[in-house]
Amino acid sequence: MLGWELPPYNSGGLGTASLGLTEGLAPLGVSIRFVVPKLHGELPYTHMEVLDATDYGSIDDLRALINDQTIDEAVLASTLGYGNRMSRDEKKRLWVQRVEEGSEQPSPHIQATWYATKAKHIARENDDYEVIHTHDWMTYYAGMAAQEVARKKYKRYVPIIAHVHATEIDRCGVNGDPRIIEIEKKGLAAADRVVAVSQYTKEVIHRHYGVPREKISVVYNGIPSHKEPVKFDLAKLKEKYKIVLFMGRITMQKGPDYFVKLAKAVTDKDPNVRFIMVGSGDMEQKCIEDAARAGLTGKMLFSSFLRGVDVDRAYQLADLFVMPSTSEPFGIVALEAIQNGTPVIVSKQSGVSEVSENMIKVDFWNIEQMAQEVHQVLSNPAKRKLMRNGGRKDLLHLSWQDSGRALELVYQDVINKLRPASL
Amino acid sequence: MTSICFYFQVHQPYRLRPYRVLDIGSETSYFNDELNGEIARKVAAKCYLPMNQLLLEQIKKYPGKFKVAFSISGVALEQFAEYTPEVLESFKRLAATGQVEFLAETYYHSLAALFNADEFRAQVNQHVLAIEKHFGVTPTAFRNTELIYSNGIADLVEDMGFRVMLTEGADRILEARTPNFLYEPHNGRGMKLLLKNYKLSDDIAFRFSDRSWASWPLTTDKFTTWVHAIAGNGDTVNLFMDYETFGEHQWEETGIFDFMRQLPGQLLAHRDFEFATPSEVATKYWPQAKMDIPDAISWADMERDLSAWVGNPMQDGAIEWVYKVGDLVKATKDQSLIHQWRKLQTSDHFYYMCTKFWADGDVHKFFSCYDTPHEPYVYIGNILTDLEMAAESRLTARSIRKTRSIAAPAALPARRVHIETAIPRHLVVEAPTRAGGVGQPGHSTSLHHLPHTRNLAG
Repeated sequence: MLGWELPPYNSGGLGTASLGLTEGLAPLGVSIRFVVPKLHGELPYTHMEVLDATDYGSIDDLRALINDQTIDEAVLASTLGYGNRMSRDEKKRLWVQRVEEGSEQPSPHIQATWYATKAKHIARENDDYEVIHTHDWMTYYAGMAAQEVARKKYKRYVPIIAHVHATEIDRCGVNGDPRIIEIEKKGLAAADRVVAVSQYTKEVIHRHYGVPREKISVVYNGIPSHKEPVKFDLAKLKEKYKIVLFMGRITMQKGPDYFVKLAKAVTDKDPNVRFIMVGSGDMEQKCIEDAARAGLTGKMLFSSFLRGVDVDRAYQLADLFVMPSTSEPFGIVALEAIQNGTPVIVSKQSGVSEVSENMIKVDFWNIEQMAQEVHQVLSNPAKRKLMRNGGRKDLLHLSWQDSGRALELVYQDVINKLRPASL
Repeated sequence: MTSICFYFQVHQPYRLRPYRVLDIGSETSYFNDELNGEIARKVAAKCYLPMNQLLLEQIKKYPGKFKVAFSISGVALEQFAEYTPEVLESFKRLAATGQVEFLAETYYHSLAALFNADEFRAQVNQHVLAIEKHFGVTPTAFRNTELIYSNGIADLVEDMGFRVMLTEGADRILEARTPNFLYEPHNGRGMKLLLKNYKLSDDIAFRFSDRSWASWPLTTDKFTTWVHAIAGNGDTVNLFMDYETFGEHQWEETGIFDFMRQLPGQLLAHRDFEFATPSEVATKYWPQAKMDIPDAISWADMERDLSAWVGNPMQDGAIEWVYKVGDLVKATKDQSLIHQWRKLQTSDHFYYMCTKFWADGDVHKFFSCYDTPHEPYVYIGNILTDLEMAAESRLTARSIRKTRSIAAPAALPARRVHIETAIPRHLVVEAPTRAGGVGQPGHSTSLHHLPHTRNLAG
């Protein structure tokens, strides 16, 4: 399995999902070798073997890549700020130095190619494998490299599963980075099977990347079932106000601007509702200013990213959780809210809306309807209770064990047939 | 004879703690005590202590001749008492020379003059009491926060009995006139106006160490020549600046202390020049003209208007909310809570939220303890949410106590009775007009000793 982020850095996201999947697979007897680009310290996992990509190949792999003439253009583009004061070679040297220090991000192509170089070494130096499982664009080239090694070393065709947690289209819409989209297209075409985290994402992959539907299987994400949140005493604030929460990256994909519009629409009718936006991101300052401009000072509060138990405290503080994402492949946050006993409204443009009937589903752009739903939920304790209890029941079928079982079936299918399965 | 009138502004705000959403209701302090103490000690060592010593030496060197004025905000005095008592002591030594005048301002260095006249008067009275307590003198001259001034504010101040008020000699109010004379408010009844000579003041405060300035380096000789050039063309040269100019904004290495050490002697070398404090200047000369200033001016930024503190939606939203919760907070009569609320009124909080030129890394950024203007807005939002709840819960607790002790009519909500009686009492007790009031023996009774509770008992 070729991952990108471990241990999970933020709640939700690629790290959480890939870790959850391994925890679901391991009990089924699947042995997992999990590769990460770089390990920071010891990891506490016993259910799989974790490999650090930087332990393989040469330390000069990155330098060699950057010196490759074919990527010259990317190098120059990212050092454009220096104008003519430096020669091209000087710029290149400086840039290589910065990338190695970690102060500069190499272009997507180099990141993916570097990981592929490492994967080649890892595949050569480790035992045989039956399936190559990749997670999102950063790992696609690496998967292809590992497949190539198997063809040469074992004279065998090892299938690639490309697991899609999010696409560039979800993150940025039509303004996506064409270089990333290019890598995604190549990776998805090379995969023997694509796994989407929802039907919603399956459609995105089909429509935007031209992958035939028959080649795409859906495996929903789960939520750690053993984790029963600690209860917090937040009576003071809850007693006085009804609280509506947003939690996530404050970026276009998550629809924070729709949350601000919702806050305006709701508090205009009911000034006793408070909106809280938790998270950080490139739209944070814009949202704060927009809220102030809309007269929401005092009605909308902000918090930067929360970690650890504070995440649960925030969920429990809320009477309602809203996820107005404009395009959300899954949306684990909604399940975390339910786990903390908080009813949720999610946008129809999300994967998580497929897994439970005990959520309210609204188009992200339909502020009027969303506001109506907020009023209804907040003024109707019976409805809240119903949603809370129903949602909790749904969670019972949404463990990572369930995801693991579904994924194992996909593995079997691919290995047995080595051709697309019908759905 | 031309007077040279030095006035130094001494102020330190209570900077806000990064107060998080999850801190609401947790009784966490609103203010960053650690940072405030650290800054107070740093500025004391770099500026207040050495500069006070320097001024004291000069005053002793020129007895009866070298004079300066200070305005020290109440929140600065409080922090000196808490973090650097030696600073307070050194100001007291200056006061004891009799050659230093202390001006009145709002205790909390607030913008109350723009938003709430009662609140403004209450804070000015509180500041007068604090100056009397620490320095044994009663201020007769007034400077409003950041020299903010308008016809309306002048009326308020004159009604309180002040004889002199200081403000900025902004170009757009002076037009072709000079700041080197006394003026009168538009509807003045005898109060005098002193206008800052911003050219000469800013030569010291802002340009002293600016190497790109044509007149750098600024020597005492050069500056003295400029001041003496005014002889015969003005009654007063008003040099108004932040006291932190000395050692904090202009570091010791720039030579600012040596400059100031030589300045009094050199300025006094011309027999037509003398030092005078604002109240002395006001009694010496006749006003030149009336100043009509309907829109507020200030000494901040190039604009010399209010745009440093109000105007962007974050500033406006936060200020509106601060003043909106006032009646509720005051109704609790909880002095500690009211004090917390007033500390939130300090103008600096809104200055930090200013987005003008933020990207260019301008002066607002230099003076801010936050990375972005959005941070203090977010913190004060959380703090005000907590404050509002704290005030409400205190009122509820009181009204429960009251319904128990006196048999209130069942139909009348006890809490409303409270608020209604509280507001008129506040007006009477906390906001007396100053005319003839403060300064009389025995007046400096602390506010909370006055008989608040008489009406309530009945």
